[in-house]
Parts: sequence; structure tokens; C-alpha cells
Amino acid sequence: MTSLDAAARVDPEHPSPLGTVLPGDPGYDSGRGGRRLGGKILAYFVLGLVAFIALVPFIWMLSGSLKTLDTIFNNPLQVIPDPPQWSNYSRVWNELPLSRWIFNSSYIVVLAVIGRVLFTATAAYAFARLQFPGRDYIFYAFLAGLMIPPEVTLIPAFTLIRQLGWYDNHLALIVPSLSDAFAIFLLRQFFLSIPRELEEAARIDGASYLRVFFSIILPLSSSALAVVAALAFMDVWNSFQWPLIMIDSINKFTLPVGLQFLQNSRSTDWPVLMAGNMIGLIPVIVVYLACQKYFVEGITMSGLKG
Amino acid sequence: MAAAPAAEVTPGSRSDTLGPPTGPARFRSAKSRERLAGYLFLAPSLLHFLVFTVYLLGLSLVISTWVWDLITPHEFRGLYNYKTLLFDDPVFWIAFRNTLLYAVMTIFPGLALGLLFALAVNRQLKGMAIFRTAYFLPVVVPTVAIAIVFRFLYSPEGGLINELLGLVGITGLNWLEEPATALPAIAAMSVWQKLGWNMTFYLVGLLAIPRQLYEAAELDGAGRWSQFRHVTWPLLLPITFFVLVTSTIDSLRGGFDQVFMMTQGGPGYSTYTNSFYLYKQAFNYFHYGYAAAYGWLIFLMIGVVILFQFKVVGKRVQYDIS
Repeated sequence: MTSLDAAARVDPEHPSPLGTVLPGDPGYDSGRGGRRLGGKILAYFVLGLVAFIALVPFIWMLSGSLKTLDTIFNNPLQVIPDPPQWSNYSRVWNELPLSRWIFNSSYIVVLAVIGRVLFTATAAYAFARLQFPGRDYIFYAFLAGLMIPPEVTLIPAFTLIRQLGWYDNHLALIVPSLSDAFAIFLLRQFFLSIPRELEEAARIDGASYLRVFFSIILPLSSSALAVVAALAFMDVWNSFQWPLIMIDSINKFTLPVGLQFLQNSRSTDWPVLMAGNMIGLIPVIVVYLACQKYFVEGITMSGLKG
Repeated sequence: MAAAPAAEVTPGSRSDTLGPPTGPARFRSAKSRERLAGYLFLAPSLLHFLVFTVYLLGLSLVISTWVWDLITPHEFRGLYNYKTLLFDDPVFWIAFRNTLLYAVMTIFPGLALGLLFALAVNRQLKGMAIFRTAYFLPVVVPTVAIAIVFRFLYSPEGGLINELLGLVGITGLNWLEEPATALPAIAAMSVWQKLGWNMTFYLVGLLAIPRQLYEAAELDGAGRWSQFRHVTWPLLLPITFFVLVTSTIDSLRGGFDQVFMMTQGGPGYSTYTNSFYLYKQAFNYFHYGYAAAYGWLIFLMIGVVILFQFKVVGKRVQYDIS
């Protein structure tokens, strides 16, 4: 009964983003009398239905990736093709530099995530703990910056990156991703919830701010940092418009731009298209399943994506 | 969001492990050390903010007054781009209208379905975490990949949707090629993408409503609808408002990834949205000044709508995100 976890869980270290407090009330259902069992069955049915709705397109993609164009047209509702055409996968893998795109996206995301976690954490520490003139004004300016839609800065960002000589260069994708005001906001809130006594003791013992930050603050914040990392991962990995604009050479594409290229070159060759798409989805799905807790929490905290 | 209380560093209370200060130049008070540390810790993000937010905002304003194709020298034309967009560019208004339609078609069905499904569940159950893994999957993976799958689903030959309609004897359409259905088809995909997310939010909100309120309402003879109307709905308003505002900000930008991947604005102009048309102006027609001005109009439009939502809905909500 208590396992509604992350999104609903009341974790003193992570107040729910909406400030809602769940009744850990185990007797929530009591008093419903005869409706109780029926309601429970209905509830599971609905949960299952929504999960089914969420998964159908993925199932259809997997199914399509194993068919021939012929079976797609003549026997489309056959979910498990007979025989499955695994060759679609080898074809798309050999014909397009999918591995290259996955590699590009991977190393870009690793650098961007490490940089963002580090830089937003240091900034959040400054905002949460250190006194310096203008601190609160700068923080509010950061928050105000969150309200600006990316469309406003798209054109000047493009011209700036060109001037820096980073057109068709992965630096154009990494450097602008290195900080994020929302992450700073989240981490600052988290740091404020850490008791000061620990740091003060260390400070009195003569530890420098850097030392306190790395050996006290960061270890205590690993779960919050992981949430920030998950958000950064989604942000950078899924980014499409910016790399579409900045990257020109096929070998330098990130995965989403590569998938777009795949679609352009195989417009309605559905089996090959779906096979390529499946390959493209595997890395992100693996990361998501492995770090679910942090993804769920991150997604719940932000209104991500439309 | 109270500002952190002043750090209590008693002057002179700290010593330096690196040894005593070696000269007058090295001597700094605890306070100025803290100040320096503050700026140093902040430096990377501050620099990032100054360049990628402050500087680019300024540059965007400047470029928006130019007629500029990046190759020939720019020409200062004041408000010319804004005027042209507003008064001489019918496509701008088509994109504007389509964006609003797209927003309406994503936000309200999204809220309604999320609430409906959450109401049908409305209890804590074992195994929620597993279901939520499935619910969030569409939000985690790239929209580009989802768009490719949905093109397949919508495809007139061998697409799942038309095949299912065929089973019940309905001849499906070529959804993405018909001016009347292309935009709703894209919106439907966006609703699907956020469905589990919306539902999870509402479920959290529903479970937080104290059971006693319903018991009290029942004692007063309130029926199911009346309980919903006077207990559930008002108490869910903060959730509704959060989902409303975040979905509005997203959808009023006009789903670039979706449009670019699925229809390229077509057929005709029927799926031109703000972000897509801005992209076309900049990167297909090389009207960089024009596109910069367009960006500001998008900002303005989102700002006005959000302000309106705060005025109408927000003031009824004890809203607290912290």
C-alpha cells in the first residue's frame, strides 16, 4: 500500500514538487464496503489500459521492424511476423552510420551531463550557502531567464556559434548545455535542506569551501545530483532542432538528426525505418530502465516536453 | 523561497590548513574569502548565463531590427520586421492560428483524459511503479523517434489506425496528408505522449485529498457529482494549474520536432506552427532578422497567455512550487 514511490512518495529529502503530502493512510480504501473489490479491479484495468496505450506504438514499431514491406501491406495486423525479418536490422546498420551517430550522441551527452552537474552544483552551492554581493539578484535573474522560450535566442545563438567557428562542430552542442537554471534551482533547494552544522564543523576544522563542497555537500546530495543528471541526459540526448541547425556532416550527426536523415532517405520503407528507429531507441531505453528512479523524479518535477 | 540566512562565519574563527598567511597580501578576512569563493563557485554558470542568455537576448533584439541574410551586410530597418510579420505576412497569422489550435487540441484533451483515468484509479495500488515506467517511456525517448513511429501508425497503407478502423468497417483517411486532419493528428500524438504524465500528476493530487472531506460531504447528502464538483475539483486546482501552465509553455511554441518530422508544415500551410515557420524563415529563406523578430513575438504570445492563466486560474490557487 505504501509503494506509490517516487512521484507520490513523501521523502523528506525530496519534497514532492507540488508540495503535496500523501496520506500514508493505509486505511484509505476502508469504508467503501462492497465497492472495494470491484473498484480495485477497475483500477488495475485502467492502469493496464493506460500502460497498453503508452506501449502500443512501441510494440507496433517492433513488429513492423520484423516484417517485410509485403506483409505490412498484405497482412498488417499480424503482430508477430512469420518469419521475423532480422535482416532489416543488419541492413539499416550496414547502410547508415547508426553506430557513429550513437557514439556521437553518447560522448556529447556524457560531457554535457558531467559539466552540467558540476557547474550547476557549484552555482547552487554559492546561492545556497555563500554570502556575496548581488547573490539574490543574480539568482532571480537566472530564474527569470527560465521564462524565455528558446525561439528568442535561436538566431543570435546560431550567429554566435558560427562566429566562434563551431559550426559543424560538437562544441556547438556541448558548450551551450553546460549549465541550466532549472537544475541550479533544484539543487539550491536541496542544499538548503542540508543541516549547516556539518559544514560549520568542517569549516572550523579548517576545511576550505572547495573541500566542504566536495567532501560534505556532494556526497550528501547524490540522489539530487542524479535527478539533475537524468534531466540533463534527456535534454541533451533528445535535442533535435539545435543539432539539426548546427551540424552539417552526416558523420557528425547526433542520433535524432540521424533518425531524421534515415526517415528522409527511407521515407516509406517501413521495415527498415522501424528497425533503424528501434536501434536508435535502445540506448535511451536502457539508460531509462537502469536509472528509472531519477528519471521519474526529474520528469515529475519539470513540465518537460510537449 | 526565503533567501538563505547569512552564513554565520565568525570572523577569525577559521584557520587555514595550508599554513598561516605569509604576508599582508595573503591576508584576507573570512568575509572576503567567502565572497571570493561565492563568485568562483558561481563563475562557470554565471559566464554561461551572461553569454547564452543576457548577451543573446540583447543580440536578438539588435538582429530583429536588421534585414540580414548573413552574407550581405545587414541593414538597419527599425521595426520593419515586426510590422511585416504582423501586417504583411499572411503565413504568420496562419502559423499563429495553427499554434493556438495545436495548443488547445493538446492541452484540454490532455488534462481531461489524465483526470479521467486518474479518477478511475484513485487509490494506492501495488505495482504502481511498474505502470509508471511504461507511462513515462513516451516522455523519455526522443520526439523524433516517436514521430517516425506515428507516421507509420497513421500511414494509409498498413498503418495500425486505419487497419483497426477497417475492422469495424470504417475507411480511414490519409491522416497526415489531409488539411483537415493533419494538425489534429499531430496534436493527438502529443496528447498520447503526455497522457501517463498527466495521469500520474492527477493521481498524486487525488490521493492527497483527505478522505474525511468526502465522508463529510456524504453526510451532507452530496452525490458523486456534487462531491467531485465541490471537493475533488477545487482541491485538484493546483495540479490542474501546474499541468496547464507547463503544457501551455510547451505547446505554444508549436511542436517543432513533431511538425518537422511528420508533415514539414504541409499539406499546404495546414500544419505551419510558430517554431516551424520561424525555422523556415531563418534556415530556408535566410531571413535572419525576420526570424529574430518572430522569436520575440512568440515570447510575447506565450507571455500574454500565461499571464492570462495566472489572472484567471492562478489567483484561485494556493500554488506553491518549491
